[in-house]
Amino acid sequence: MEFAFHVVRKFFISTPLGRHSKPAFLVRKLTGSLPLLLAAVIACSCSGAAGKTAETVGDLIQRSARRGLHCHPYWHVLMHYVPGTFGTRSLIDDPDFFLATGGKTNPQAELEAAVRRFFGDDDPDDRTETTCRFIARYTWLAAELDVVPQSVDVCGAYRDFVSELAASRVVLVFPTTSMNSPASMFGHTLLALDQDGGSRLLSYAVDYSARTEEKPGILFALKGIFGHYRGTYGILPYYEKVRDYSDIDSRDIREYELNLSLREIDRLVMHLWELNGVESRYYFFKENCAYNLLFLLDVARPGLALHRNFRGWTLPVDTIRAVRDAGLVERSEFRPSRRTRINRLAARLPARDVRRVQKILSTAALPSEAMPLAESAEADAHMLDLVIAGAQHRFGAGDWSQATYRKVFLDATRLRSERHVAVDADEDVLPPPLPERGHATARLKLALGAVDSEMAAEVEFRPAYHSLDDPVAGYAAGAEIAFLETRFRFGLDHGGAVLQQLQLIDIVSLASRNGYFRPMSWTFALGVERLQTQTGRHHIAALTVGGGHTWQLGDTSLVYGLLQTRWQGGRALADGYAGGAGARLGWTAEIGRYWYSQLSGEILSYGVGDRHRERVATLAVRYRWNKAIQLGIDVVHADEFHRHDTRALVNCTMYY
Amino acid sequence: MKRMWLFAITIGLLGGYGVAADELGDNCGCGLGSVLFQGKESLVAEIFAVTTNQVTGTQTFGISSGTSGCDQPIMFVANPRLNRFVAYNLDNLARDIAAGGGEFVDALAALMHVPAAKSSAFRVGLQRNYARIFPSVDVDHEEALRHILGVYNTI
Repeated sequence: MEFAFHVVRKFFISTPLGRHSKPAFLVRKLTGSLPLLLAAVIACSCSGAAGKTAETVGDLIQRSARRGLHCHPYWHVLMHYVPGTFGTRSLIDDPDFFLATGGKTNPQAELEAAVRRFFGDDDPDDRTETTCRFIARYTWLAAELDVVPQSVDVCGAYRDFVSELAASRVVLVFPTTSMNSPASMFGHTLLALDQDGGSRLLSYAVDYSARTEEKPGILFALKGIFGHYRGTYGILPYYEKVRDYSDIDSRDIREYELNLSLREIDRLVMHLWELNGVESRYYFFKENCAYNLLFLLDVARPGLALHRNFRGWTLPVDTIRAVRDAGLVERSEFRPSRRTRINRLAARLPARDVRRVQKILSTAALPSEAMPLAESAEADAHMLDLVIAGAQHRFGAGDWSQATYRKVFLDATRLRSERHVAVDADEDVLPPPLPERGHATARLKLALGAVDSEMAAEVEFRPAYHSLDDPVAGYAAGAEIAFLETRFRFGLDHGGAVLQQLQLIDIVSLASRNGYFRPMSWTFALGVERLQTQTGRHHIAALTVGGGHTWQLGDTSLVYGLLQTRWQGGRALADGYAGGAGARLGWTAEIGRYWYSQLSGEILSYGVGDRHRERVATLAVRYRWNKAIQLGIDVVHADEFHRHDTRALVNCTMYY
Repeated sequence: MKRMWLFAITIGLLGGYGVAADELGDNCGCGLGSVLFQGKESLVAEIFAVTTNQVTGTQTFGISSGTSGCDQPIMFVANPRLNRFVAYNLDNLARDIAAGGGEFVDALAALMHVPAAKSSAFRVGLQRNYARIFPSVDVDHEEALRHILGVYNTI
C-alpha cells in the first residue's frame, strides 16, 4: 500500500515539468529478470500470429497504411489531433508526447514511428520502456494490427499506478456557482475515480489545470486567455478538491456517475498514464479544464468524440450537457457546500435561535458558558451544529485567529458529542435544479418596437452566459455575468443599422441578506453605448462599479439598492469624459413558473468632466415559453444630457 | 478635488469588498484549524477571476507531499492513506465524530477496514469518546488517531 502510494505521488509530483525522458526507476526495475520474461512474451506474440512466418515491422507499417489507421478517429483521439486552419495538429504541445519528429502535425508519421518503436527491432529494454510509457497507444495499435500484445505485467510502475487508483467507477464532478461570486458561474470540471466499496471522499480526483503562481490580475487574465500558461493533468485525493470547493469556495458540487464499463475505465486509466506530466498550452476559453477532460472520456469509449462538440469556446456546463446527451450519465448527486449546509442548518432553527448562535459567534463566546439550554437535546444539537459550522466558516473567512477558533470549536463539538442526535441537515431538502438542464448559454434576441416615436428593430447577440432576465432554473438566482453583449438597431423609418451597444462584460451579484449570511451585492460593467446627447446620438464608453445590499421578499423576489460610480468617455462629452456617482434601486421577481419581471431605477449625477445628470427607469417582463425561447417586453425611459429617450420593444429571445 | 473624491470612491468600491476568493494556505501545519485558510480578496481580484476562473494555482498539481511539517512516523499505523486523511480532514472529522456520524466518519471507517457489522458501534464509540480523542485545543492528528484506534479496539 505504502509503496504504491508513493509511486503515484512520485510519478505525479517528482516530475512536475514532465521531462521524464529517462524514467530511471522504470529502467531500474526492468533490468532484472524482466527482459527474459519480455523476450518470452514477444516470442509468444510472434508464434501467436497464426503460425505464419514472423512479421517484420515493415509488414506492420504496410498493414497500418492499408487499413488507414493514421486516419482512424481513435488514433486522433489518442493523440489529441484536431482539424485546424493549417491542417491537422495535436493540442498537446509537449514534444515528449510524440514519437516522431513533427508528430504534432503529422498523424501518419507519428503512427509509423509508433509501430516502429512498439514492434520494431529496437533494444528490448527501450521497446518495453516506450510500450509502458504509451500503453494506451500500444494496446490499441496491437489490436488493430492483429498483434498479440505483450502483457502489461512488465510495466511495474504502470501496474502500481493502476492498483493504487483501483478505479471502479468514473464520476464527472462539477463544482457549480458559488453565492456572490459570479466568477464561479462558469464552473470547473474534474473526474473522480471511485473505488469499490469506499467512500467517495477517498476517490482520486483527476483534473486538468494551468500551472501558475501569479495572483489574479490583468496580466494573469490576459496570459490565461492567450495561452501563456501550461496546463497538465493532475491527480489528487478527492477530499482535497472537496475542501477547495465546498469549504473554501462555497461551491456546491454536482457529481454525475457515468456508466463507463470496467474495460472503458481501463482505457481511461491507460491514457491518463500517458498524459502524466505532459504539457499543453492552456487557453481559458477553449482548451481549458473542461475541454481537456473530454479526451479522457473519448478515449474510454471509442466513438464518443465529445470534444468535437466544442469550437470557439468551451463552457464547463456545456460539456456536462454534451456528456448527458451522449447517454453517459447514470445518476447524479448533490454535495452541498459548507455555505449551503449552514443555510440549511439555520433554516431548521427558529429565527430566535439563529440570532443566539450569531451572537455567540460574533463575541467568540464559549457555547458551554454562553448558550442557553433549550428544551430538548435535539434543539441543543441543532443549535450546536450551527455553532460548529459557523465557527469553521468564520475561521475560514479569516475573521478568527486559530486560537479563538480552536477554543470555540472544541467546546462546541464536545457539547455536541454529549447529545446523541443525528445531524441530518439535508433530509427533505431537494437539491436545486440540475445546471445542465438550464438554458443554453448563448442567446440571440430580436426586438421590435418604438424608439422615440420611430419604429425600430434590434438584434442582440450574447455568446455567454446568464443574465438576470434569463430563465433561472439551473443558475444562481440574482447573479448575472454577460460577455460581449452586442446590440444593433435598425431604424425602420430611415433605414440603416447602427451598433447601439457593446458590453464587454456585465456582472451583477445580488446576494440576499435575509439568512445566516449578510453578503454585499455588487456590480461591474464595461462597455460602449450609443446615447442621446444634445448634439445627437453618439457612442460613449462607460465603466460602472457599484456595491450595496439585497433582500429577499418571499421565495422568489429580490429588492436591491446599490451605490454606483460611473466614468464615461467619448468625443461628444465636454473634456472628453465625465465622472458621476449615484444609486440604483431595483426589484426582480419570478412569478409562477412562466413569468418574470424586473423594475429598476438609476440616478447618476456627473460632477466632474462633462457635467450632466442621468436618470434611467426600466421595466422588463418575460414569459418563459420553453427552455429555448422566451418572449418579453422592455420599456426604458432615459433622461440624460437634458434629453429624453423613451423606447418600448417587444422581444423574442432564443437560447442555443 | 471633486475628481479625486470620485476616483477614490470608485477605487474604494473596487478594492474595499471582502469578496471571498479561492486563496489557499500552502502548508497544512498540525492540529485543528490547520488546513483551513481563506484570504479575503478585493472586487478587483473577483472581476479578473471571471476571466481566469479555470486557471488555478499550483495547489492542484500532483499529489502534494505528506501531511505537512508535523508529519512524524506513526509506528503503529502502517497506513499512510489513513494518516494523511486524518491529518488533512481533522476538523471535519471532529465535527462528524461529535455529531455521531457523517461522511468523514464513513471514510475513516473505510480506511480502517471497519467491518459493516461494526460500523454503527464504531460511530457510537467515537462519539462517546469524543473528549478523549480530542482532549485539548492542541490535539494533533497523530494523537487523535491513536485514540481513535483505541476506541476501535474496544468495540
